[in-house]
Amino acid sequence: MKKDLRFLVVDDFSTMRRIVKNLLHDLGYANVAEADDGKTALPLLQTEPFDVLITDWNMPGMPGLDLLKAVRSDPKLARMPVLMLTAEAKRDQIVEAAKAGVNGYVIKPFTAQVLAEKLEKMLAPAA
Amino acid sequence: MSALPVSATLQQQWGEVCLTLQEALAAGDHERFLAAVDSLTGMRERGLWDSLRQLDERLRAALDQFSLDPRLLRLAGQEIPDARARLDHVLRLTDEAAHRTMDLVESSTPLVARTAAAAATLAAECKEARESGAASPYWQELLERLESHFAAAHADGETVKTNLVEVLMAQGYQDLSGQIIRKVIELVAQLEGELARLVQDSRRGASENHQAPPAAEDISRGFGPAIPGISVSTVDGQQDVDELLALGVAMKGAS
Repeated sequence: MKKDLRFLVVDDFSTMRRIVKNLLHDLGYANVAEADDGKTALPLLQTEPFDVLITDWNMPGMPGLDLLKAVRSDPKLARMPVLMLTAEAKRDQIVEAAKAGVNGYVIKPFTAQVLAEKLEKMLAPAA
Repeated sequence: MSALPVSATLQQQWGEVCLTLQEALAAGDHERFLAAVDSLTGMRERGLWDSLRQLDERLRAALDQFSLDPRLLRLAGQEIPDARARLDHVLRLTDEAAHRTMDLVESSTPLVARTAAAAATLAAECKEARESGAASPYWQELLERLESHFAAAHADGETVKTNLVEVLMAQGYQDLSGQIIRKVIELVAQLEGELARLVQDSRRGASENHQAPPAAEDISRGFGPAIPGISVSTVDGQQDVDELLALGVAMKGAS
């Protein structure tokens, strides 16, 4: 996997952003930016060259599913790998996220190993 | 005073008008008959209105009592806002505690990593020196003990590093419990609004009904973490998620 990939981590809880950032650092990814909901993430994605998006679902402002749909409908961002990292656990939601074009879905609480596996799988074609 | 039997009460209340009706009917006195019917209807309506008035008075008295109930006023005006403030405070405390823990994890990880790496190097050097055979028996024995000590220090350091990652991951509880607490705060705020309106309505005599329809659940906004015994139709672990994701992708491909 390329270690110079730029990540955007979107979660309304700063503790979770910090956990993910630490795990990404442990995996060798040092280039990680943060946003606290879809509304602040979308302009960042549109103006800065991010390679991967990791987003929560349930956030004030713009929730993760809406952010995912906005990303998929923007020609410049449409092919960006998106991983949902969320406590949203209803079966319909996971199917809905898949239909909206999510590349990976990790349910909270999660382990460092599961996050690493899903990222590796998701980013394999880009490596 | 003893109560009159039912038949006597009926006779007293309706006897006269019934008699008039009978007499007017027998005499073919149309005008008198209709007047008696009017009188009968009036008597009946008066009873109905009396009952309604009594009901209204009782309702007003209950509402007055309700709005003046000091427990309710205290609940709506102080205790529920207090409860929200307390929950907000819990959120802040858990947030601070999680960040403090992560500060310590982040500062400890490089220290233990450095110590473990140095121990591994020293263990290798001790082994090399011992195996060269140049040392005296005393140093040979000491090198062996040092090698074993550094090897153990390296292994322990690696275990501590792994444990620190687990400590970091455990801070995720703050996100999960925080999401649940936020939901409860929203609920308490709604309850507070409803109670305040109820007290206001009771003061006005409940003349208007402002009840807003409950907000529909919205898949896009999310539902928060699954709660055992409450949440329905939720997944059972990451394996379940992976299968559903594959299913969703297949459905997307087919459409």
